[in-house]
Amino acid sequence: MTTVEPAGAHEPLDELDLRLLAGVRELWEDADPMPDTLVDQIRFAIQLEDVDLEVMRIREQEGLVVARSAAEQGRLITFDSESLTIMVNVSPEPAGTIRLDGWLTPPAEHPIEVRTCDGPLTTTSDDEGRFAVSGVPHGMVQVVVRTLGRSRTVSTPAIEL
Amino acid sequence: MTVAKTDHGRVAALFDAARAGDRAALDELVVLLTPLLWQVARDQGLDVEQASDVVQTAWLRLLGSFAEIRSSVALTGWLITVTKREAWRTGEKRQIERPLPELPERLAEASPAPEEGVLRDDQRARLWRAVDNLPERCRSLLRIVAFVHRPDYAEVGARLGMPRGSIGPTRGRCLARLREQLLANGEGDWL
Repeated sequence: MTTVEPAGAHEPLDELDLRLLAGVRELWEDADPMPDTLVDQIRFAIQLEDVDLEVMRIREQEGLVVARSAAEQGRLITFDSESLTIMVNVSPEPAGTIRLDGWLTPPAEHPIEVRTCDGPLTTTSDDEGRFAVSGVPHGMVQVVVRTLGRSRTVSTPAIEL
Repeated sequence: MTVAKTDHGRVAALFDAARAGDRAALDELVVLLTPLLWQVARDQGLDVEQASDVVQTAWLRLLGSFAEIRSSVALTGWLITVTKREAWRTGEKRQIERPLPELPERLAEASPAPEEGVLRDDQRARLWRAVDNLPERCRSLLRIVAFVHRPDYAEVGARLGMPRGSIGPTRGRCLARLREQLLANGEGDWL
């Protein structure tokens, strides 16, 4: 079978081409709209002073199937990067805030910053790699580990809790 | 009528400023280029949550990679490549069968465009049908290119693995096919 080259493929782009592309964009914007919160989420996440960054990936989430914004019951989120794994258990507190119980592997004492909409909360993991932060407000949360002895900072993506 | 929604000169200026450490410029780049990366991630078959994470990760990775990116044109290509690579890593959860989503009614209020929509209501359905009739490769290419500012077409085509000349400076095969279909039934309506 030979591929038939459609007519005009080698002509320069003209006004109609550009209009069609603008039309295609418009249709995709309607058919598959970006979540309203995405840009804010990204802007929140990249407000880091650290440029030498190891970005973690969300490996799995347990305890919720539908909406990730539901922190009503406990849930476990695992983040992975080349050098570190963090398991975070998210549980509700009576005051309407959230408590994070984390466990770093390989275990070590590291300064930890939990970035929230109301500012950062800081703690340090113990020699078993465990840490806990309570009073975390709902909204965007990002866990940043400034690993001791290394210049690289490890960060999770910002997630909505 | 204005066609290009993203002003290339603006992106270039923002790129230089952001690379020099200007956070406000970086924020504005996020606003301008995230819609493109969203379509790239979704075109890889990711669900909404996965696509959001992947796009965010691409921006986070950029923080440490400004030094290796030479120009604003390369920036667009770099971000697309990283988004695609991150999307691939999410692996087995991707949907393989991807029929074209149904076209909703015009979302005029939801997405106030800087200029009025470029399509009349009757043109929307026809254009969407024509997109649906394209080979998947072309559909993907045009979906992404439609979100790119014009001088970047060639670079982006290359990053998407399309042969040279797929689009920009010439029309290329995909756009030519789309035109062929539209002009075949209803010559003049589009001119």
